[in-house]
Amino acid sequence: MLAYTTYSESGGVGKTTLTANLADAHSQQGRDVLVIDLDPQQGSLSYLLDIPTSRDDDVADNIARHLIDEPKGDFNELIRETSYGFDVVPSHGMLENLPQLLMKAQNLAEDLGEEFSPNDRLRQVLIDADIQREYDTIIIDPPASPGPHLYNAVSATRSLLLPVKPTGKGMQSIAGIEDILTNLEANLDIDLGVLAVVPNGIGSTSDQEDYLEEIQQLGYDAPVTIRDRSALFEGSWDQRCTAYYYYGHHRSHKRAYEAETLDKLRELARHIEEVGDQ
Amino acid sequence: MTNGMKSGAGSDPFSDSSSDEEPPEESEPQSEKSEETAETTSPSKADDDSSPNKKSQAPDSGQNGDTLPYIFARHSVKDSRKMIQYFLREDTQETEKDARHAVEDELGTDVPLTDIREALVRVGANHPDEIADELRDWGYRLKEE
Repeated sequence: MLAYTTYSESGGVGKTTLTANLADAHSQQGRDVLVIDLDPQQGSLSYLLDIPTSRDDDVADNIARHLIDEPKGDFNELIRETSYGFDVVPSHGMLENLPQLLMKAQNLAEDLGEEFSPNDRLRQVLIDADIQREYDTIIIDPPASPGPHLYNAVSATRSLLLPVKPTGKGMQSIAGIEDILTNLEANLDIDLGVLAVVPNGIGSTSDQEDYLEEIQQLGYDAPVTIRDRSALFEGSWDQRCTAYYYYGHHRSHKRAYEAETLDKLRELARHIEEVGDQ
Repeated sequence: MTNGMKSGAGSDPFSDSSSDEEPPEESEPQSEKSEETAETTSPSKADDDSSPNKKSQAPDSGQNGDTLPYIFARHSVKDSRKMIQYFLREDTQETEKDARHAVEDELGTDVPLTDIREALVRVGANHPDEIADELRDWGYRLKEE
């Protein structure tokens, strides 16, 4: 089973774009992929993939309900197919209130003398739904800020993929990630691994060899770097599809360098599979 | 390696329902990849084999000594540029588009049309003979002796 969370402390590093396209790449390589969108924001993965969500309908079943143990149906019924060969559990507006909801659920459980680990709910839900029988790859896309969304994602995957913007600030955020992750390991009492750091959106200004060296000095692996491909990725957001689909269906002039970027993402997916399969 | 964090996979969250499991077998640290990625990503700033026009182009085309290269020094593509109207025939516009794609493929990145146009003028300006040939094709007459 390959399971990982894409995490970055700062926004705008292409986390969600990367998640969608890695899911596409894994699935092109014949894997059964499930992506879980834990980000309640508009503009999340569900939006990118044009997955209809019942965002504001709290009565409808959604992943937040499962996390607080108040499901309205089977977890498998939350799963949506995409046009790209992989499946998605969409986001829901209710996820915005997840911290409070989990706290209530925990209090209730304690009153009833039941066990409830608010940060380990997603893993429990996935195990109960026997997800690992259907899928060999799970990618979770949580919001960037620390909180129960992130904790649940990390606890359910134990492995991380860290996109970074190779700017001074981006490097600082790698250093900051160290602390966050060390805390996560301690608080959740689990071993975490970093499958790869992905310098994303490298412009010609960046002295990327320096960045790569710094990343490696921190002990991480950065198997590929992704150049600034705003035209390709923004185009895919406009059309609400993966970049592979966008390139294949919406680009009349095929740009060699964009194809190269898509190849790199496939290479990254393969690398992650090698390192992360267990 | 850093305190506690390691490169590689974390523990298997689905190993059993019990959450304490032994650390995963081996995660070989991989650090040999940098050449491969570096090589594909830094386009050379200068065009190496266009030596004839090198000299005349050097002063203000892109880089002045230790100041930032032109595209990084400006705030927007229109900075320090004056708008000049261009009148182009349709097939020239096609030619321009082809040139842009070729250049973008060469550099591996998108290039604003405004930059392409200015570069076309600058490079063209260094090739008066060829420009004259082109104009002869359009009907300009040979200079009489």
